[in-house]
This record gives sequence, C-alpha cells and structure tokens, in this order.
Amino acid sequence: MTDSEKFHKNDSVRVKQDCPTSPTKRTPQYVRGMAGIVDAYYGEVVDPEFNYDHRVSWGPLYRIVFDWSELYKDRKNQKSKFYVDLHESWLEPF
Amino acid sequence: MVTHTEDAGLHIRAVFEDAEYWRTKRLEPVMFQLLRKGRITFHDLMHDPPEIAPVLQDPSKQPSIEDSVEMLELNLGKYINGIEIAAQVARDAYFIDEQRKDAGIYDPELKIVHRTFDITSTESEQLSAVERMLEDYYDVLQVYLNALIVRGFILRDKLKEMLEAPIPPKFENGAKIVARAWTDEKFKQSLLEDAKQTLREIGIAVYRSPKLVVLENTDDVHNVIVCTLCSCYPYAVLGNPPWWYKDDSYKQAIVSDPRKTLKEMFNFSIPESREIKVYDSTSDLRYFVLPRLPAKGKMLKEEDLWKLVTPESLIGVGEPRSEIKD
Repeated sequence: MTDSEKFHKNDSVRVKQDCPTSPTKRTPQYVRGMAGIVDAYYGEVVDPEFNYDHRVSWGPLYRIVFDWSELYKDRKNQKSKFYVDLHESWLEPF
Repeated sequence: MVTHTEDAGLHIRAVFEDAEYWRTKRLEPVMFQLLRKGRITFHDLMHDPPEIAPVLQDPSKQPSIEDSVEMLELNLGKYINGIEIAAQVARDAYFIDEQRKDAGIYDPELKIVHRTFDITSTESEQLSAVERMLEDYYDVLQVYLNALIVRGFILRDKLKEMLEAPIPPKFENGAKIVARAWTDEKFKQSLLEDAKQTLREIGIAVYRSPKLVVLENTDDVHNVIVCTLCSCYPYAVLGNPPWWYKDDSYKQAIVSDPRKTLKEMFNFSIPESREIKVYDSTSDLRYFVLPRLPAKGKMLKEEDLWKLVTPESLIGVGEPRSEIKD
C-alpha cells in the first residue's frame, strides 16, 4: 500500500454517474450517484499472476460501504449494508 | 428459482443452465472476436469434429437416474474445462472487454439467444435432450480447438495434454478450508487476514485468483456475495459457482432486497436482528463466505466436518447442513 491514495478509511464519497475517462467502465448502475463511506483501500490490484482480465491497472481500488437506507430511500429500517469495490476514478469527495 | 436440492430434475436443469452460460458468455463471444479479427476463419471451422478433447460418456447407459445425472455433470465439466483451456490458449489474441460486448453484457440487444429449458417433459427426456445439446456444443468446441491448432496457437500434443490433465477444483476445496477454519483458530485468523497467502501455504493452487477475501459470519452479521457486473467468483479455489449465481434473477434481487431474496429464493430466513452484508465483487477481488459452525457440528469428528458445508453456504445464501447426509 502507498500513501498516495486520494481517500482514506471512513471518508465520505459519492459515486459518479458516469466516468468516460476511467480505464474501466465497470461500475454497477445501482450505486451510481450514491453516497457511501470508504471501508477499505486495496491499492492498485493488478495481480502479476492474473493478467487475464486486464493487463494495465484500473487505478486504486476501494471497498465502499453503502447503507440500505441510502440506496433504497423508500425502504428504511432494514439492517443491511452493501460493500462494493470501486475504482478511485469513479469516486468524488462528498 | 431453484435452490440447492438433491432432485435429479433440478440437477439436469443446472447442467442445462451452466452449458448455456458457458456457450453464450465464454465460448461463442471469443469465437466471434477471433473470426472478426481474422485469427481464425469460417473455413477453419468447416471440419468434422476431431477428437482432441476427452470423449463424452453416454449418460443413458447408467443403472439409475442419479448415476446418469452424475455422468451428465462430468460431461459438462469436460465442456467447461475445454472452454477454459481454449481461452487460455488464445488469450493473447482477444480482449476481454470485447468479449463482454459480444456477449451482450453492455447492450441487451447483442445478447446471444439462450435456449429455453423444457420443464414439461419427463426427467429421462430432459436428460437425453440436455445430453444431445452438450454433444452438439462439444462438437463445436472441438472444431474450434482444432482451428486453434491449425492457426498455430498451440501444438496438438500440448493441447491434448492440457485437456487430459485432471479437471480443476470443485467447491469441496472450499468446504475443507471452512472445516479447517472451524477447528483451527490460528488458521482462521490467518485466512481472514490474507486468504491467498494462507491457502498457498497449505498447498492450494491459487495462481489464477486475484486478491481473495474471506468473510466470516457471526451471530450478528451474515455475509452474502454476488457479482452484479458479470460472475466473478473465486473459481481457482472453489471451481464453478452454481448456475443461479450467474443469473440476473439472483444478481438483481440480492442487491435490491437481500433479506427477502434469501427467504424467497432460498427459503433461508435471517432474523431482523442479524445484519446482512452484501459484497458485490465488481473488480479484482474475489470473496467467499466462512459460515458459522452448526451446533451439532461440535459433536462431529474433525475429518467429517467439511461434509456439512454446501456450495450455497460459501456464497451466503444458506447455512451449512445441520448434520451429515448419507
């Protein structure tokens, strides 16, 4: 891990609606535009043994936690959380 | 929705769904791409199916329907293994992202049509229909493998050797990892800290897994995994996931209402007091769940504990069995 990450554990972030400049288009629709909290920072994970999917880094990767009540405002009082792995380029401070 | 069950008809259905998944997502999109790029030609594919991959067995000649289904599952395993090896062989010639496009992951208009499963016929009719389908698919795979040889991707002998090597891991691997974590606290802690390194140390080949994270269930927290974007799963360690894991009906429902989905699709109730955490593996990490040891499990011998673990419990859509089934 390096110290160069833009976000840190417990930071509030928002997922961008779209990010044409990101090296990956892969961000689930249901979290786009949603606010979440940084749960873990994984660094840049391109496994040297695993070049099957992509050979260049997709940028720093975070695990972001979303609360059920944020994702589904009409359905409160559910004890559920969603953890989604997202790349830094898709995140903005919130 | 089909849940884990011993019912033969449902096993046949699962083979059907898996075969369709592998054909439409993993094999045909890559073939399209190589054809488009001129790396193989239609003419290369105009051959009688050669015998490169191990031959399929005839499941109809088995003493019982269960044995027939098992044979069918073995045939499916050969089909999947052949597709995985073909992907490995042609890896430098295609892009995964284009494969996704060709598979219709980004644009439903481009989706390759899925066949539908005939649930009205009898089990033995279903069995022979799925077997015929698999044989057709296997022919296409063999012709494609032959094209890869003809176009110089790999030498015939080398390819045959790869195809004849033992078929890689199944979920039993995961079951044994879980059983060890239940009995060995130190192993468990190390597994939770760095799963990949820990598994490598006990001799499990993790070479194709990216980072691996094990999620421990507790009395307060229940974990569930999904991959809403495709079907990420710790394949290298656990083999292939059950077919519904790759199905939109599961993926969409579990991120929309996990508690209700677990109840309705898997008949698995989780009390309101227990928090549900859903992990969506959207990028380079792979997850699996470490379920809780069932109460009666404490009475079992250590070497039998793994028999309690089901594929569903590693995904988090069920608990382990409460006792060993015969």
